[in-house]
Amino acid sequence: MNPMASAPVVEEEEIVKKKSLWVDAWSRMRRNKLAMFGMFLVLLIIFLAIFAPVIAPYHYDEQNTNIAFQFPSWSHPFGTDNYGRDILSRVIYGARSSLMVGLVSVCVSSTLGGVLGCIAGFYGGKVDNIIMRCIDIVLAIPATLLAIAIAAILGPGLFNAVISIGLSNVGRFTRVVRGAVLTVRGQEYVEAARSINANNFRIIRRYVLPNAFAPMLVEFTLNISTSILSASQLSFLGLGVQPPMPEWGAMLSAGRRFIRDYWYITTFPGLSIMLTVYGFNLLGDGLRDALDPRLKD
Amino acid sequence: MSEKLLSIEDLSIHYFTENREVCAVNHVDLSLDKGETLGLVGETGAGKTTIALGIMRLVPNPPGKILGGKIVLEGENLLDKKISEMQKIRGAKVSMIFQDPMTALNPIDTVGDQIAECIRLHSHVSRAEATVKAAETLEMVGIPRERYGEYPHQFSGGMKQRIVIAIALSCNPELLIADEPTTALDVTIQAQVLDIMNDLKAKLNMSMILITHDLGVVAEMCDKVAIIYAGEIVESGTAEHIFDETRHPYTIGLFGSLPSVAGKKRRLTPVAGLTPDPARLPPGCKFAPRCPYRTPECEQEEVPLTEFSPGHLIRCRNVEHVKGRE
Amino acid sequence: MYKYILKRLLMMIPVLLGVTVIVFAMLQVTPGDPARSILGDDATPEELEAKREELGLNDPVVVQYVNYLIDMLHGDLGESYTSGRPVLQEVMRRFPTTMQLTLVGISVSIVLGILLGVTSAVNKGKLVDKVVTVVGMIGISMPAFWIGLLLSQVFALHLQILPATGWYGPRYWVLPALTVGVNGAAAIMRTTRSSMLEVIRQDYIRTAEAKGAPRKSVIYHHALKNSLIPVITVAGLRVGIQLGGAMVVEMIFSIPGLGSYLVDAISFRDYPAVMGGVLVIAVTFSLVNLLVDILYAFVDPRIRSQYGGGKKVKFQKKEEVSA
Repeated sequence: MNPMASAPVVEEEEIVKKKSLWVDAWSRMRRNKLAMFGMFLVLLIIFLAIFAPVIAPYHYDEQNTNIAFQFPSWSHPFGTDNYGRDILSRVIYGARSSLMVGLVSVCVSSTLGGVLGCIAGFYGGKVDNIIMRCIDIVLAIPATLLAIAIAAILGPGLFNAVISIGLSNVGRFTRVVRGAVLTVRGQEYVEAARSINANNFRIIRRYVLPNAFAPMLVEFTLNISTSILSASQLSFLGLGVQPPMPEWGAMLSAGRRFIRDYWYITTFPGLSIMLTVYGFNLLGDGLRDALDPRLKD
Repeated sequence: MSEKLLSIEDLSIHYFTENREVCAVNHVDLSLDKGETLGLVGETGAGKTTIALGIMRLVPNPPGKILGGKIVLEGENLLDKKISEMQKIRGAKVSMIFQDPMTALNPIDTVGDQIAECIRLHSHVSRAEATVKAAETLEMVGIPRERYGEYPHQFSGGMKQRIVIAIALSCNPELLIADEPTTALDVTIQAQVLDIMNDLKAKLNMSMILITHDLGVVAEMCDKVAIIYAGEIVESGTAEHIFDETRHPYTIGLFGSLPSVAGKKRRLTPVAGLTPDPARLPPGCKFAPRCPYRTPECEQEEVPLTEFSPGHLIRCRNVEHVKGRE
Repeated sequence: MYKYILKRLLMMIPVLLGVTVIVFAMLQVTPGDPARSILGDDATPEELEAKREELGLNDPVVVQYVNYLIDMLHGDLGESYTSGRPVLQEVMRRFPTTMQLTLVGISVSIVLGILLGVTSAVNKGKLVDKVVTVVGMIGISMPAFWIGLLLSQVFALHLQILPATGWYGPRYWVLPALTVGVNGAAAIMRTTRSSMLEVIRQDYIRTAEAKGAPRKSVIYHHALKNSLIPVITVAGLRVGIQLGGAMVVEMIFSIPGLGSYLVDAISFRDYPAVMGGVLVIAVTFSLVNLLVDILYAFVDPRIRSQYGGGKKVKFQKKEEVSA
């Protein structure tokens, strides 16, 4: 009885022009200012990371104790740290580590979780049961703690951080993908494909994966932000990226000692983490809103 | 005998969305005497529910807005009431039953408590007294009082609708608005629910506005009928007027869409075309594009609702040419 | 209901067994020789060998695991390499502090999150909603340790109205609890908001309004109660996150809890201590998850009836009262 639902007279062009899901989603997303802002932030950070050597005014490890602890100025907009290193340059280079760990670890967890989730969701029954019970076990350990425990064993370093964060998020991904696959599997077009004798691999590749892609993409984007947060936490605990390579979490950790007198040493790396994570969160939220068919009307 | 309970004058309700103004209800006049049942008949989207929500002052705002008119209940204009005053009227003087009983009950409260809540809101009784009264109301609609403490999911659709009715009637309202109360139910259950409503209406001496698109239900229940098309009343009168002296082309079309079991076999004669988009209503008669009797003037000028015979109003400029139903 | 709780407790056993397997496996792949870690660098090969034999390190892996399990059932999680004291004892001594921090923190999250979420949902599209949504998004984007640093910088160092370190009473709880609570509050706020918006659209909300229920009752009784399931889910997850995040927060505020114990254990490569801590947190988190499931049933009668719990015989009781 919603009066809006009763508009059967649609302009003809609207009927003729069948927009695909992605074009449709993009046009919705473009109207979402926050999502576009998120995208802008993400692109900006990626840009900074790629062109860090060109953009950064100094080298990240250029020490000069004569100018240690300088207050933000024209020559050092974010000030300098205890070794006299330019904080702005370190923040710009720091984008590299954060994005690296964020992106690569999500690739690890989405690949592993994607495969496990697909298998569990598609085959169901015993296979599903075994996989999901194992996932339950992994999920019984809080992800942050699991990441820290794995990192503690593997030892500090960028690569180990990627592995530990990636592994600790596999459970989450498996659940999301399995859920998406289960939904798709019940759809009639999969039944239809089965009825024309398509084999499992073909069904997964042609029907299940493309349709489970949207929730996976959303989870992927949102997971980048949590991974960046975990990475900075690992670095803060000394388990992440090692010096002299700058990393925002490590910069916060190192600047902690001087927080009483030199607030800018910790504030700018903190802000950078926040803005990056904020960007990915906005983007992920925007993607979800744009791709969610429930909000299509 | 006839004492006026409700009169609606010139009621207009529009919905405003980003770039559209949906004219859901346009200049509607209705009146209802005590003890009467008025049927509001029309297709989905004609604006029937919006009229009902307007009386309850429950039109979702935004996007909906009551643009003008009067809704006078026992001499008082409901549109002038403050929200707090309306809260005292809702459920006590005017109650409403919604279309889908499956979703109309709060899933996490016991059905008894949901009835008792209404009682406690409108009368100063203790919790225990409200409980007893609620249990009585349950029995009134044919549900044993032992089921007081059960939750909505433990009931079938028909039973749920009885509970919804029990909530609506728990405070002996003057007016019951039933919005397609049986549409979502099985045919056999429909009859039961309608029976209960008819019985209780008589017992409690209520008036009723019954919203439906089922002319069979109207024939069984209503004293007066108003046919709504695109937010306007196109024909109104007593049930006899509408059923025996059908005059408006749209009403005739409605009857033509009805399969009949008893009569001789005939082809259905549905109304051609579609309901107009309520955001882009035609300038003249709203029904003109679908009307077999239309003349060029119909499409240009607004058509007033005129009295065809005493109490029988029709919105059609060519009513003399319209052939009534056999 | 009790049956269900019992069943769920039994179901926890395989999960916890699985956790022990993971923890044990982690200990196995850990680099370094525990015997050397315990005895130090100047131990003779004979001493090392004797210690290995004593620790059972020469047994096959499966035997080692079974022994580990048996020891654990006896409350023996091994000895700390650094202090030489039983891990369980050390862990349990610090555990209450961490639990306190987590509980206070999650309470902050729940109270703030639900209040803001409801306010935002009820005022959808208005300025309050926009502000709360943006702030909420920023709230989940801030790393907890930075929040902690900022808070101690402002309230402890500059304003000097709250202590920055220690754990001696409610005054000391404020900053750490806020630190762990802000992320959670933002997350719970977002969930509450979207869940409320979903519920407000439901027909039964209109029914409640049609009954003449006042707005407050519609919002808090009918809408919020029905929105709670996802909120409880997120709150449960947040407890896990806060238990995991306790390390950083306890380190910042020098709180003598399990978290700071773990941080030390990690930096000294004291693996039995690390794994003991992980195990205790995993058990706690599993219990929290159980609690979450019980809360579902408490909130939603549909879930309750799935568990085959008894019907509420509310009316009969009341009749007795009124008779």
